[in-house]
Amino acid sequence: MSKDHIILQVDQLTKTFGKEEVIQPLSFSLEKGKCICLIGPNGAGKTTVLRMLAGLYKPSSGSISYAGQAKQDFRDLVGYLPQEPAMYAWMTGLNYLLFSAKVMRIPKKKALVRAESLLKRVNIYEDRHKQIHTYSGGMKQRLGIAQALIHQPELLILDEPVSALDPLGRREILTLMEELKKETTILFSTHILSDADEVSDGLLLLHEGKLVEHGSIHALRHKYETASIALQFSENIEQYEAIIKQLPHVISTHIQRYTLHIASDDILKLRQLILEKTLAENWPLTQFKIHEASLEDMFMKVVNQ
Amino acid sequence: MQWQTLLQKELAEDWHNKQWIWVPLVFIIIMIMDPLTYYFLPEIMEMAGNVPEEMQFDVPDMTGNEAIMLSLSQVSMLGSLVVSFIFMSIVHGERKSGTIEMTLAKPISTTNFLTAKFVSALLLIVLSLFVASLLAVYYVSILFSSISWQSFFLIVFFYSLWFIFIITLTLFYSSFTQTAGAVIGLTIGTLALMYLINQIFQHKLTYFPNQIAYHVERFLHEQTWSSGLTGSLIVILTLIILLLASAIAIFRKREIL
Repeated sequence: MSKDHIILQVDQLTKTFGKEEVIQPLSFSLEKGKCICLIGPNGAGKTTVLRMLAGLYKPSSGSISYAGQAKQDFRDLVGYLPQEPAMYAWMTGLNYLLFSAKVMRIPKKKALVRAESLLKRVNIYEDRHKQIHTYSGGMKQRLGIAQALIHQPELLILDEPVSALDPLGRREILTLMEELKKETTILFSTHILSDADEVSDGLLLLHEGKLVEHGSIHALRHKYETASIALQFSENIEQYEAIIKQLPHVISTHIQRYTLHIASDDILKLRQLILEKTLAENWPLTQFKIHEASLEDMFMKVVNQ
Repeated sequence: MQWQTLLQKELAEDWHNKQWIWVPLVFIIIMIMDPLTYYFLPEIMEMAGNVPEEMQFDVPDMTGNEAIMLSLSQVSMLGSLVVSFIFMSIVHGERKSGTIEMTLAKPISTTNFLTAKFVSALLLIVLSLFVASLLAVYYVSILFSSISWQSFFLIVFFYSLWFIFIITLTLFYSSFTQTAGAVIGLTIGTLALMYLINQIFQHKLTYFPNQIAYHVERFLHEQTWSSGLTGSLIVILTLIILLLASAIAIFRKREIL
């Protein structure tokens, strides 16, 4: 891959607050046009990383370079939406965008054109003359995304963009992100796995200040794949467990209430064996299910390593 | 352009908070209260009634200069407190509401961010002081004796400098504290300490900022520019510049959030 594709290069980045090392040496790079999710449990250090990337925290050591330029102040290359977007509530939506454009040194006429097209884009054009304190949570979030895009940044950073919203607001933002993906690079954080699964191309998994895993969702799924078979019997579940334990390709089994879970290294072959035995010996099987590894399972597995 | 935008935002915010109305009003009340009360003292005492015959006395006549000094001593005490309280959240207000995070995620220089706040504060206070002094001088001229235009401008100029000095104090203390409470504590503590130093060493510290009141009073009587005025002007300007520059330097070194 050519170097032009790398939009952000992070090298051995750390952050200490007082004596506590909040972020341990962190290195990764982002490709242009991708939507990457920084995921991790609460307190993993996601906000700290994003604030450093947005130029709000000074790294304790390491380097951040955007598009190959090692600039001291790279805030003009980034559009940033914090976890709790607080805008000047007495301003109107339009005024806040114009204010954002003007402090970015965008000429007045261009600023107005840009602000209006963004307001239409995020669907608050109708309410552009209303004061921000009258906006709903979802509207504020959308206005926050609009202000982050006002200067056409190289990278859009969104800190927990959907975590605080109701299902309707969440849907709006996820749809908007789906659209924005096509034209800009996005790095967003979340602790909700299904959101990551829905819009992102890749994951950076942060746990206790360490980058524990990264890659595309597909590759990670494959890596942590632990498909299992779940069986239910109408009677004598323990008896069948003993039989199944003897079969080839079985790694382990355990019974959880009325379900027998079987971990296997070859699901397809084991499926055949079990079904053959069921027919031949007339097992009282009531349910057969192949359980695919969810992001949740992967997450738990990585975090518990 | 960035600086103008930030200044416009500050001025609009002050307007939105109605500061452009209530701050001048507070200054007007502080400055005209004492001369008016003094003028109407006989009537007030009569209205209060049942003052024993032998306790009644004539209120001595006052000159315009003496009357305006009543206004000035009020404004240098109460006005200083009011200014400290208005600007204690000059930076921490944005920290508390969280707006600072989104604003400073944009490529805004520390100097522009802080000086825009400084200039909007300065405009608000100078305007309030100008209006209040104009009214005070007007009433004093009618009720006591007239005050010259030179005196009026000198009062506005030097007392503005004093309040600008307090604004830079709040800005300076905001650069390394986390809460508005700390800023107000340190600012008032500093002002109290300066008052104390001035009380003890006033004969030696001719150009100390607190001596401005004394130099202005002398101007009112003599109507000539003294070396004391020049000296204290230089001292207070130097302090303002130093405090502002250190506030910017410290702010730049520290974490924004």
